[in-house]
Amino acid sequence: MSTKRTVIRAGVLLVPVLLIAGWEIIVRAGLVPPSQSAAPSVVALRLARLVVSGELPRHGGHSLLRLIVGVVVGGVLGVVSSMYLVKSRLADHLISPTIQLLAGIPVVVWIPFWVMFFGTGEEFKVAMVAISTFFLVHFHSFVALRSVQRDYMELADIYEKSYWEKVKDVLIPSAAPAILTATRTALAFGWVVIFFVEYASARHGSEGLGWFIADARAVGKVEEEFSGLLFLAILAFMTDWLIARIQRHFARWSDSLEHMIAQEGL
Amino acid sequence: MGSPLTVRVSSMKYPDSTDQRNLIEDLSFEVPADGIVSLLGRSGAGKTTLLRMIAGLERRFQGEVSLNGGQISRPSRDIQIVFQDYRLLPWKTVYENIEFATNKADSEHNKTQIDRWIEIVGLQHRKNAWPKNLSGGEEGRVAFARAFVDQPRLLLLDEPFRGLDLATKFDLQDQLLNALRNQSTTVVMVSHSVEDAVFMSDSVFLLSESPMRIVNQFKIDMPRPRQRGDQQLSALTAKITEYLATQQRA
Repeated sequence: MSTKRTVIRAGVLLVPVLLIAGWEIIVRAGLVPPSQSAAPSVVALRLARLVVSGELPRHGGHSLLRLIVGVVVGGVLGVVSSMYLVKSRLADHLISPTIQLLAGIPVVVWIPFWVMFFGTGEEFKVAMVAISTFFLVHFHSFVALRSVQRDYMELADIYEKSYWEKVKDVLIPSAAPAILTATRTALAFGWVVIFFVEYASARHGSEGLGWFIADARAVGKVEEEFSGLLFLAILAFMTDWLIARIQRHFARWSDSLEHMIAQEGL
Repeated sequence: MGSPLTVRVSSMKYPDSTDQRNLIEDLSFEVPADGIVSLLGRSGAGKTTLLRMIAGLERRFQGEVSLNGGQISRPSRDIQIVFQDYRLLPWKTVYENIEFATNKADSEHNKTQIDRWIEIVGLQHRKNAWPKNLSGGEEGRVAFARAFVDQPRLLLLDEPFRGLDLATKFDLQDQLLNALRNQSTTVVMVSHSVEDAVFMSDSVFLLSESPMRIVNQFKIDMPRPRQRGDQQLSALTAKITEYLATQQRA
C-alpha cells in the first residue's frame, strides 16, 4: 500500500480524535456541569473496567441478540413478502397499498399494538426491531426483484429452470446487493430502536444497554452512562462493519461504482 | 444430432407497438439437419424477433415453427441461443454460467462436460473469473460453451461476432466451426456481415424489411474447413454484396 493511501486511510481517525479532544477540553475547563458529562479519559477508564468485569458485554450481548433476531425475522419476512408480491399480480394489487400505508407510520406508533400482543417482554423488543426492518427490506427487495432483467428470466426459461431454481439462481442473486443495503440500513436503525425500547421499558433487573444507560442516568453515574453509550456505539460500528463485509462478498461480481470504491478504497 | 428446422410464418405484427403493419410476412425456409444457415438483413428488419420465434420466446405470430417435425411452442434445452450481448449472468463465474445451462440431474457427467467445453474454448485459466472481468471475445467463448454444453439440436446465433476485433472474431468463428465438427447441431445465424455469413454457412438468405421476407437465397457448396480469402468465397461475397447494393439503389 502506498504511503499516500496509508495517510489517507489513517485520516479516518482525525474527526473522532478531534471530537474527543474537544470534549475533554470542554469538560476539563468546567464548561459543562459534572452531573451532565464526564471527561473522555475518565469514561475510557470506566469503560475498560466495565468491559473487564463483564457487565457491559453481558448487557451488550442481550441488546445484540434482540437486534439480530429482530433483523433476521423482519428481513426474512420482507424478502419473502416482496417475492410473493412480485410473483402474484393479484396479491400485489390487493396487499401493496396496505403495506405502503403501514410503512408510513412512525415506528413508535407500533408500541401500543405490540404491547397489546406481546406485553413488554423479549417478544415486544424483538417485534419492534422486526417491524422497522420489515418495511425497509420489503421495499428495497420489491423494487430490486421487479427490476431483474427480463433477459435473465428468459435465459432461465431456455434452460427449463423451475420457479425455485429461478429464485435461487436469478432473482435472489440479482437482488442481493439491494437487499443487503436495506439490511445494513435496518441494522443501523435497529440499534436506535433497541436502545429506545430498552430505555423506555427499563425496570429493575432488566438486561440490555438501553436499560444500563437508563439506570446509570437515574442514579447519576455519568461515567457509566457515557461508557454504556460508547460501548453501544462500538457495537453498532462493529455490526455495520460486519454487514458491509457480507455485502461486499455477495456483490463481488458487481462492477457498480459504489462497489468499486468499496473494493479499492479511495 | 441436429434436427431439420422448418419455419413458416404467414404474418407477425410489430411487437409492443400500435403499428398495425406486419413486421414479418410470408417468410418460409427450411434448414436440413446439421445445416448452417445465415439470415442477412438490415438492422431493425426483425431478424432478432425471428430468432426469438424459432426459440419459442415469441409466440404472437401466425404460422408454425417446427424442429424435427414437432412444433416449437415454448423455450427448451433442445434449442440454444447465443444472444447479441451474450447475456452472461453477472453474479456467476465462467464455470457457473456454463453450469447454469446443464441439467442438474447428472452432476458427474455435467462436470466432465463443463470442463471439456471450458477446455475447447480455451478458458481453463479464466474458469473462476466474473463476467465483468472478461473481454468481449472471452464473453463470446463462454456463451458458445454454454450453448453447446447441453448438446442442443438447434443453435441460434444472434449476431455473435458484432463489435469484435478481426482476430477475436476469426478465433471465435474457428472455435465455433470446430465445435460443430465434434457435435452435430443445426445452426441458424443472424448477421450483418456478408463475409461472415458466406464463410460460416451452407446457405445464405437475404431478407427485406417492412415487412421482412426472404428475397434471395445463395447456396455455398464448399467443404470445410474453408480458407479465409479463398477465391470462390470472395467471389460469392462480392456477388451478394453487389446484389444488396443493387437492391439498395433500387
